[in-house]
Amino acid sequence: MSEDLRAALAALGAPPPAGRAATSDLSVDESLLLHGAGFEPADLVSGVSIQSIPFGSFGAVVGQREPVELAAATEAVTGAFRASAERLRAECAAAGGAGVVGVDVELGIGRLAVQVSLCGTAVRPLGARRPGGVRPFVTDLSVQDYVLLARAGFEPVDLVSGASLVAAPLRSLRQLVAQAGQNVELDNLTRALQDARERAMERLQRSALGAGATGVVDVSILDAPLGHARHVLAFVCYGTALRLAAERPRRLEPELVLPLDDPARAFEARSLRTAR
Amino acid sequence: MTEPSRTARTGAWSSALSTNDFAATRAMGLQPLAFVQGCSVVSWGFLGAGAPGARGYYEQFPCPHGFVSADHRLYGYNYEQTWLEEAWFGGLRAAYDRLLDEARRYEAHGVIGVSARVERLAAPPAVEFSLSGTAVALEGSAAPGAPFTTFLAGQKLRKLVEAGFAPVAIAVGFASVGVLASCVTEYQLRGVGTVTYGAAPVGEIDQLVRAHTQARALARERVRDQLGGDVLHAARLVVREVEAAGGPQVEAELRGNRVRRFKDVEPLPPPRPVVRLVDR
Repeated sequence: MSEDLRAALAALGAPPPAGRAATSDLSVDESLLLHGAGFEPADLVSGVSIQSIPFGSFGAVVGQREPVELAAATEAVTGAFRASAERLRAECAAAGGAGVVGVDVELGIGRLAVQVSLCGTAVRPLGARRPGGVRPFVTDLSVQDYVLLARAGFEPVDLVSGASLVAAPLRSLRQLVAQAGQNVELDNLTRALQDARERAMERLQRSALGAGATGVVDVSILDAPLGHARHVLAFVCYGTALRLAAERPRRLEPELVLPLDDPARAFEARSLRTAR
Repeated sequence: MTEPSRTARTGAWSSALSTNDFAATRAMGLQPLAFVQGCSVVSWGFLGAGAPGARGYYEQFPCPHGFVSADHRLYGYNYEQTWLEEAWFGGLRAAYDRLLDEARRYEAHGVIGVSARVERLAAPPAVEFSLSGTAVALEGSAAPGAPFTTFLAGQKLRKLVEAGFAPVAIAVGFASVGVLASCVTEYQLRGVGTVTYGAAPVGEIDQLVRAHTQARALARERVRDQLGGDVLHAARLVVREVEAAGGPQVEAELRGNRVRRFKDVEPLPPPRPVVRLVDR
């Protein structure tokens, strides 16, 4: 190790190599794994989209009996995901990348705007300058997951998403009084969440099919009432759409490992007591 | 005459390394010398900076409506806040130079596990930069003129060197873009239209998106300028939107490790998938 370190320190005295520098947010482990899979980082790339939401889009509707989807807000979230992914892909293509891995997703839903920010590392085959003509893939999977999927015969296609923002019906005065102090299911919120979930998941799957994929892995979910409109339930999901790259999926046949480094059993005061 | 170092005065060494990082550092043949730091507080002013757009990125967003009224804004613009960036870089450079000066006094080969803290102070408007880390020396080797610096330490640093990369320096880029909203942007940010043009529909807020995109691109370019032909490794991009008197400001900060390849390594063999038979 010291010899390696000596060689490393000696290299610092030499002038830096010529050419455009590669940038990445990958760790050492990820860089090595990527190298082993025949890829190298090309550039750190990002894509952002901010969509406006018309004033009053989150307003409660008096007399509403059923959950209602808020079309404008839902459209804004969907549009922001789509536009930011396209920008990320364009930056990747400009950097000569074949795709973007480890995409970090940030989503913010405000009262008047939605923001989606994506950031990841564009990668290219080792030594390749510009793999032209191929639409770059986008995935939020880590390099470890990407390599594992490739070995199983799958390839990522796109980062797909689905969203639905639903306004729950307000409870009537009668319901409010009847449910006060009771252990009861709040039917209005349950139905709203269920509606939002079904719509968003269906959109996610449809966009995967539209991208030419067969399924979606590692789906992340955001489902919560909005801070600025507690009666609105947002269900947003995103994940990596995959397709089969090989003729058929390859069996990985993982090895079973029993680690022998279990943490020591914690000190247990009861074991010190004498048996009665 | 320079003051003798803390280690020379007391005979003991200090470090900010965790126990694990310390063990890994020693295993590499590196000896911790001292906890070193450098700090600087800077304020900024736009006097002498010229009008927005005199230097750096500038983009206009004209009003599409024509003449509406005397108080209707005819155009908005995005502008790079070069005075803020210069203050930022000046402060960081001063803190970094102080960190290196202290490391040189210990005859260090490098500073590892660097931690960078950037904090805004409310009054007067200023930024505090504080860099700290552990100065280390390679046993049995003469000290170089310029110590290397890296955010990495311990096992991560060890793996980096084993992977054929030498740490060169920490690389930090910063960009700030101010937004003076055009009439369209203002309507979109308020979620309303005008009586003439109706409610603002769902749509992309172009001016703000351009500000975000440019801030990110500028921060990356700043870091790229520091790299030469070296590689930026384990970077982290942080973007924040700050509300200011004139409108929103988008600040992007990119930090990473500048590393240089000193030997070629063979690609790793395909990893073996395993299933751990342990309950979590």
